[in-house]
Amino acid sequence: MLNRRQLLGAMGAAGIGIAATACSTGGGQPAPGATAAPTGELKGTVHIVTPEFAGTDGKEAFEGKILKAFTDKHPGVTFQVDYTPWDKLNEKLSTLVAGGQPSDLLMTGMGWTEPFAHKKVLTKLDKNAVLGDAKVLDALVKQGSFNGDMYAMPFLLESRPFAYRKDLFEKFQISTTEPKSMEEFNSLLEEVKSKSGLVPLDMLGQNLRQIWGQMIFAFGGTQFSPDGMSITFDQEPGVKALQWMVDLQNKGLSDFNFKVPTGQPSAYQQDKTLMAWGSSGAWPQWLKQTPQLTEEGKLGIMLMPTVNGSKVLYQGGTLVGLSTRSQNSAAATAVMQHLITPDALTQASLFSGKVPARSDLPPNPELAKNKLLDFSVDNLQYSVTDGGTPAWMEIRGKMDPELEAAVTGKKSVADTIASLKKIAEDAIGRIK
Amino acid sequence: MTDLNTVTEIEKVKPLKPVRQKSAKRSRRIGRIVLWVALLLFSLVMVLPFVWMIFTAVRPAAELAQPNPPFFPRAWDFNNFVRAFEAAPFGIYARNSFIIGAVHVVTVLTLGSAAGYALAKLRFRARNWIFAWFLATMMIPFYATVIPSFLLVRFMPLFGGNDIFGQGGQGWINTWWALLIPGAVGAFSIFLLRQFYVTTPTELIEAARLDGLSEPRIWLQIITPLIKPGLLTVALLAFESGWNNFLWPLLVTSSEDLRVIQVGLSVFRQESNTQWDLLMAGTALSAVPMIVLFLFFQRYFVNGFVNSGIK
Repeated sequence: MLNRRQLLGAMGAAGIGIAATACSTGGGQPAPGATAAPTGELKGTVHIVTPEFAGTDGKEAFEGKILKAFTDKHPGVTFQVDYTPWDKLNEKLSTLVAGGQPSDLLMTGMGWTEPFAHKKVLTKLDKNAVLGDAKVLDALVKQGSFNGDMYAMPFLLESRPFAYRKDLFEKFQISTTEPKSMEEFNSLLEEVKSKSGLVPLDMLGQNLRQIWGQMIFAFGGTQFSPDGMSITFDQEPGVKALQWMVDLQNKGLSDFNFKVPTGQPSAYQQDKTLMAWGSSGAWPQWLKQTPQLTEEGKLGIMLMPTVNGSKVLYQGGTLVGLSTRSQNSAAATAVMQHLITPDALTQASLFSGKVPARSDLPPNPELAKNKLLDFSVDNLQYSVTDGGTPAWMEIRGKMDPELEAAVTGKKSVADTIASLKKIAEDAIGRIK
Repeated sequence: MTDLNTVTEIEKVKPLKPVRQKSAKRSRRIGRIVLWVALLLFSLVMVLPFVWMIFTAVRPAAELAQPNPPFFPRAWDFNNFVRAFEAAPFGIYARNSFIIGAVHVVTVLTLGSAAGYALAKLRFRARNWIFAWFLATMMIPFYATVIPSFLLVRFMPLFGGNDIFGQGGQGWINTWWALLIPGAVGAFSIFLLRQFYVTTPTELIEAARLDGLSEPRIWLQIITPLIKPGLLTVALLAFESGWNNFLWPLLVTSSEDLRVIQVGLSVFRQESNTQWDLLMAGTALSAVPMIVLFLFFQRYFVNGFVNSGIK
């Protein structure tokens, strides 16, 4: 018979064994200098990990059209594409990095650049060589940068402007003039509520981490210091941004309980609200489920004004980075250059419904049908995103429960900020 | 006191109604009805997600777009199954999942029963320590071991271009070895089978030894046939974990030819949209093999857990 002491002893031994195994890792190597434009004949296999282009249609769009256009010019290059869903992309990349063999090109999310650049997974890029003559705004390049250097190329974006029911605004005699300040925006919400009797805004039922990220910028702040090694979200803008969210809930201007499963009609689609923090990626769903809301006369779009008279447009999205372990960096760099060309980017946007990262794409009638996307392309200069620290991958997943506790009144704003501060500082402390 | 004075008079009297007996029967019947109703309600609760899955799988897109779609579909759109099947190469994925499940059944039964028999019936010095080690490893979550496991596979010597020190190549990454070997046997299977072997009579083993049988033959021909419910239970669990495995195959493969059915289902769950009709159609199709297996072997499956003391 096994006694308690034997059991605990075996457990301890098992733990030591696993810890010892986990310590043997083949992480990234020091980043070489910035990549330059490839020269000479390109050949070999380029490995790509992508969370985009899932399924048979996606494979056809990516390999059958976008990458085929590249191999038509460079027949010596072949591709091995690893399609990985977004919700498991971090695990996939982490294991590849630990195994010392990340693919040549890695597609990652917004806010992921700092963590992967800090771990020496991504190579520093020569901005001019990679982007060429593509007009990619500095606000977007910054989101693919770490310590002032570009490590990932913005590719596809998921923008979140505010959509509103233009027809109902007119019906209730609410001004459709875009608010110029935070006070005007708040007054608009109050006016919508008093005149329509409905909850004005479908926002708190969505991703609270992203909302807080946007609102910190709207209040003139940042989440982290420029080097990402200390937090700034506990300063006045961060506190005010969270208080603004709590006030939305308390005053009935938005409702956390309007949360619906992804793919189900949102509160805005169900006519429960007159405004929504929209998403360019949700446009196909709107077209399918509530096409009447996408009509010219019914859809208005606006941006969140900031305290200093500017605007903010939250961006999620996908960036492309080059691995420090790439065995074929010349061909991989050429593929990056190809992905940002008008044809390739248009194809990618048409398939994914996401906003192309360059602002000088020739007009495309199909893309223009997505009015949230079209509006976002015209307003890319206001792009902001959350994150900005090498420890972001560890922090981001722990934020939502804390913010939810604040919005639903289970925790004060001060306590929530304190909890978030501890989470972030612990995570940053582990990478210092 | 009775007024009956003679034996004849007493014999003529009919017995009184067995009141107490009847009331006991009635209360048993009522108890059974209550039990059946409770079990029926509980079964409905358990089966409801599956019913919802089927109904969602055949619901037209327009109905799904309603804020509160009716429970019973007003129209049945079986085309969802076709569209789901066309959205990804599910034929390849299903084949791969089946191979993984089937191979794991064989390896888990062979290796797990051998280890279980040894831990239950053979006397050796470190037996309890080894068993405790297995129990301890069961308490470690998969996420804690995924990177070490990946590294073992990645640096496997003499495979995939690796040298004797496991350097220079890919190891088992993106090969069938990575899909089949790490799950070839698990601590839980060994534990479960050991519990079954413990309940078998040691006298049989001793008698067999006296008759001159070798230990492998005793294990294979004498004792293992006595634990068929346990073997079936472990086989079902092994197939289920192989068939439903998602994260590990995703991590160790990049080629579409090696991807599994659960990866295919993720096609319908995108960042800002979930195609519930196709997701449920695909999920329903992927659940069919497990449901059929369970329906066939549920008696053994339940017995397996009951007999091993896990309830």
